[in-house]
Amino acid sequence: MRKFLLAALAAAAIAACTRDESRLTPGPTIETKPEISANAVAGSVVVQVDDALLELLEAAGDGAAKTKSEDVNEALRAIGIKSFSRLFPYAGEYEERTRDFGLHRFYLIEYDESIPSTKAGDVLESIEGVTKVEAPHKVRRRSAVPDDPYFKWQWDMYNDKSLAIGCTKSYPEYGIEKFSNNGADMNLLSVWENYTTGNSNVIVNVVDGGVDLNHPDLAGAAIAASFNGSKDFVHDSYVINPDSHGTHVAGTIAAVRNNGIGVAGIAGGDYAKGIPGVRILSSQIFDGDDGASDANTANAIKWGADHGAVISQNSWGESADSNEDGTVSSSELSAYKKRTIPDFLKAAVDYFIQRAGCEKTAPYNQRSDSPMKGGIVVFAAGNENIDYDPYCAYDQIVAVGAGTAGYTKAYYSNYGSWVDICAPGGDGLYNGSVNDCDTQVFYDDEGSYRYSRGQIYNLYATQKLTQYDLDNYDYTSYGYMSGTSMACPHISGALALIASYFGGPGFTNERCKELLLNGADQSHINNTKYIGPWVDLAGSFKLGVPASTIPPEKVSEFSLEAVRKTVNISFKVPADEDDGKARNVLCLYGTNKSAVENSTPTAISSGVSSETFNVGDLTAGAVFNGTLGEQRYSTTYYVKLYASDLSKNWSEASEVKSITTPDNHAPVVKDPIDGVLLYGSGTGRNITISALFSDPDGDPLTYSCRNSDGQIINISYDSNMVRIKALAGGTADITVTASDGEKSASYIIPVLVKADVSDPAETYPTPVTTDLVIRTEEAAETYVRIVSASGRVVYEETKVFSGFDPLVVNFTGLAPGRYYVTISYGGKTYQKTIVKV
Amino acid sequence: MRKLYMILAAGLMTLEAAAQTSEALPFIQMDYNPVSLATGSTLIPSSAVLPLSDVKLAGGVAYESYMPVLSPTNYISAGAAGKLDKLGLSIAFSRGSGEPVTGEKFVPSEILVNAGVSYAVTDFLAIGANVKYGKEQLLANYANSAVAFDVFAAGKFSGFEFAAGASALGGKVQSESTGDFSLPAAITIGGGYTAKFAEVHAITARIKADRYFSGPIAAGFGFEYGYDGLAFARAGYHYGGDSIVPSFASAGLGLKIGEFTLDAAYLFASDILGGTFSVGVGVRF
Repeated sequence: MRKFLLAALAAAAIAACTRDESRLTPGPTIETKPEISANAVAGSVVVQVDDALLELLEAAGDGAAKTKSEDVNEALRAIGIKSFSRLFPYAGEYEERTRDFGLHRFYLIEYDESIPSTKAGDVLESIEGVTKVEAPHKVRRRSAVPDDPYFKWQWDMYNDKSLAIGCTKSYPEYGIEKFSNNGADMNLLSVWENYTTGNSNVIVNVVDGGVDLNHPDLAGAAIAASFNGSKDFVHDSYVINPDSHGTHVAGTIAAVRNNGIGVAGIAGGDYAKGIPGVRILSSQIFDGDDGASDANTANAIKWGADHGAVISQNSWGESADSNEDGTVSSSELSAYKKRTIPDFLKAAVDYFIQRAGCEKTAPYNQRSDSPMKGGIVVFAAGNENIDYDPYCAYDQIVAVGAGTAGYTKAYYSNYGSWVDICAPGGDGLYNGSVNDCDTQVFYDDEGSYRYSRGQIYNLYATQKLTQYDLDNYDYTSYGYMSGTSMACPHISGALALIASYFGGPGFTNERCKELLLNGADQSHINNTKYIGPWVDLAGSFKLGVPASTIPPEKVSEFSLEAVRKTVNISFKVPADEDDGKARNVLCLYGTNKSAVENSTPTAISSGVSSETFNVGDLTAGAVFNGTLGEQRYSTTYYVKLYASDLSKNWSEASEVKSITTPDNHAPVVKDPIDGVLLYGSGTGRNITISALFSDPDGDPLTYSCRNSDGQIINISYDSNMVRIKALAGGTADITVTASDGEKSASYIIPVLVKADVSDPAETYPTPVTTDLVIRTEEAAETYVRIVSASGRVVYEETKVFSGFDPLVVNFTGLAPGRYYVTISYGGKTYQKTIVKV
Repeated sequence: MRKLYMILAAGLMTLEAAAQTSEALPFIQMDYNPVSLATGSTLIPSSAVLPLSDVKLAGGVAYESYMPVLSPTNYISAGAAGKLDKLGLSIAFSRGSGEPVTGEKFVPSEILVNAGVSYAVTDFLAIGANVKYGKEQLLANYANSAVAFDVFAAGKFSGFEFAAGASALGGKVQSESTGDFSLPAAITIGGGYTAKFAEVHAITARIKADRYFSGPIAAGFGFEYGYDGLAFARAGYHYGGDSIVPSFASAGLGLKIGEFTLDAAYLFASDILGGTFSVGVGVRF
């Protein structure tokens, strides 16, 4: 069915979603017609197509502007077509499930921006095979203003009521209630202490401004930008341009805990104990202050599902304030309520929920290394104190409202029965006359800003600050922000923490969501503007952890095997009297036997590593196979096991066993190559260096290259290829070194750049002083005769030499004068006249 | 952690070889006379024989294309000689130029100036000396030069002729990079005999041998048949050994019409000098 939605979309007021508290000035309602194009992305539209049209578009290819159908082309020309491309691009190994989900039917049409979107919609709707047309809209962050540093200000994590935060009176015109700090937080400390601080197999996709991947407080947590990692969807590149909003969000979830610096993330692990927390995949959809197209955001959400994430964190959305005057008029709200989540975004959300954590191919079972089958998409409810949000209205999305340190609704938070849960989002007016909400308002060094400790304290970007950052935030590595943008990552972090502990084979997204929502506290929020129950992680864990007092039996049978430097382990799942079986087995291992023997689950000695195996669905007595990963070669490791149940009742220790990894072998040259002959400056050649070497142990190799003469050639290289470019005639060597991390081998590739590309038999130098060098293009038996000006033969030999093994004739015994050189090889003869001085 | 560093190479060898030694300015010992070339280079290039000859005054020019197959060098020569009673005087000039140096535009060249004086000690014995100046311009900004001397004695009687002496005695040439180099000095001895019969026929046989100071020995022999002093046929062979000029065989013709002469020579049986030819015209009184 073809349906054109632009008219409906046009009625929706869509504008900035960033909450700017300074604009909260009461005033008359402005009854103006919403600006249709204010937030629509000009010159861009998303269509869904049927099979016939899909075939035409796919035949034309992404980026094309015409198809084989003249009818279709005529329509496309009418809107000044620039290109059409799949909205969700070819997904490689994930393509099968992408097509299964129908995501390949969404096409992004780029057309002349001067063409009105209504006309473009009409034209595209007229094309046979277009089943739906939707206009992408700008989306914006949902955060407020930052503030000042210090971990002790993280009341959202742990609130002992010592912070003087609150409002001594109400401000009805702002929607602010009177409240005092009564200890609202995530109820998190007991979970950290008793169960988990996070698990690195849980990945959260932060769809936002770029995360500062190099922030010291995200070391080890942030996934590097790459083809298989973090990605910039604004520029379709793999270089993240960080901003403070995205970094703040990421820090709330995964800032490294217990590392002696900065702040703690909800699931940031325990650095001091060597326990890594959850990881952050940055999917950048903002760059600077500009809004993002929700067409990009859909792609970013799907990217997370295809790259290991099981939680999708989204602190952004559309805005009801379409004319950006700081208030939402009744007409704007009315129009906004007609907006629904675009189908392409809905499809991406559904894809994430159903395919995250699953295999690439049908029947899409849970991946063995994934903590959860299926994903959870979390969205901020919005900051306009209204009772609607087009994205959160979709019931598969976990909608997050924002609360204060007083267990009240933050004045800005959107509300309604569609809000699933609330979390600390911060509250504290810092501007204008209303600053009573935060008695701890203070100024920065220059006195130009006032910050509120009622806001949420976390990371700022430390580098590559965008203009948006410079304009809006005090630049430090940490600072305050507030908004449903900040509440949202608290829920993403809570879900990540739940998945860290309960996750494993058989754990589902539904169960994770159930533990979050059913464990939440319904008693705190009594506001008539409903923002859901208050997140309560202790409650969630209490719900998930059965009441058990009897520990599992100890691991009585286990075996170790060293395959190269990887240590594999097999053990029988121990029985548990009150739980049926053990849930986890903790493996303690190290090279110091006594240190391993003396370690316990709660007191691990220095130098002892740990690995926890979740046995998942295996029953007692079944054999579990796992791995300790790659260790060092030629090393003896001592291993001890403890079994536990979900209540963290620990079994007795197993016996201590040892395993010795085999000796390492250095890389070897697998496929030697001849020297490289380049014909003149500017020419070049690429050599696949990864094909040169192999490692007898199968270890992955890293490569480095060194150039002996930068005036002759220039080289650049990556993990696979060295690229050589000739600069001048002469010779140089490239030393390629392959390393397996412990041992290395090198191979020298000689490079000859011919100065005279037309000469197959070069002689130099001119004039000769002591040596005459003769080079041929190929190794061959070559006759050389050198005759003086009077005809006397002063040298005559037949030898095999080449460009890389040249013949060098010593001229020191020859008097100055003219000499004639005859060079014969390959059936051809070359004559040279040279001069010795 | 142990580090093992192993270096393998694709091949960086160079083949090294040494050329033989050589002497500087070899062109000062080369033969630019087509009559001599045609008879195995057996004429002694000395003015010593002048006072004993029948010629009172002579002059001529010659062109020689040397080593045309390998790398042709073109020599233009001119000379004049005369005698006053027992005193003989001679002067000669040669200039040669070949192909440009490979990869360069510059054409190397060389010049040789020769002046001689001789004196008839008796009616059948004379002595003489030459002074030579040779210069080779190898690059636009690089040249070598040297002065050399020849001393000879020559005799002639009853159809026999002989000569002996030393040539290219002189200084050294300084190499820019590898020291001094001597000129190709040599001791030379040669002789010949002319038999006339039937009034119009004459056959001359000549031999010559050179012993270079640097060690090599060269030798040659040649014949000339003359008809009535008007036409000449010549042939010869030169053995070069390791001397400055390699071995070759030669042949040539000559005409004498009145006071004017025309001579030509052609070298063969040598893969280096084969194809070399020389022509000259002259006048004799």
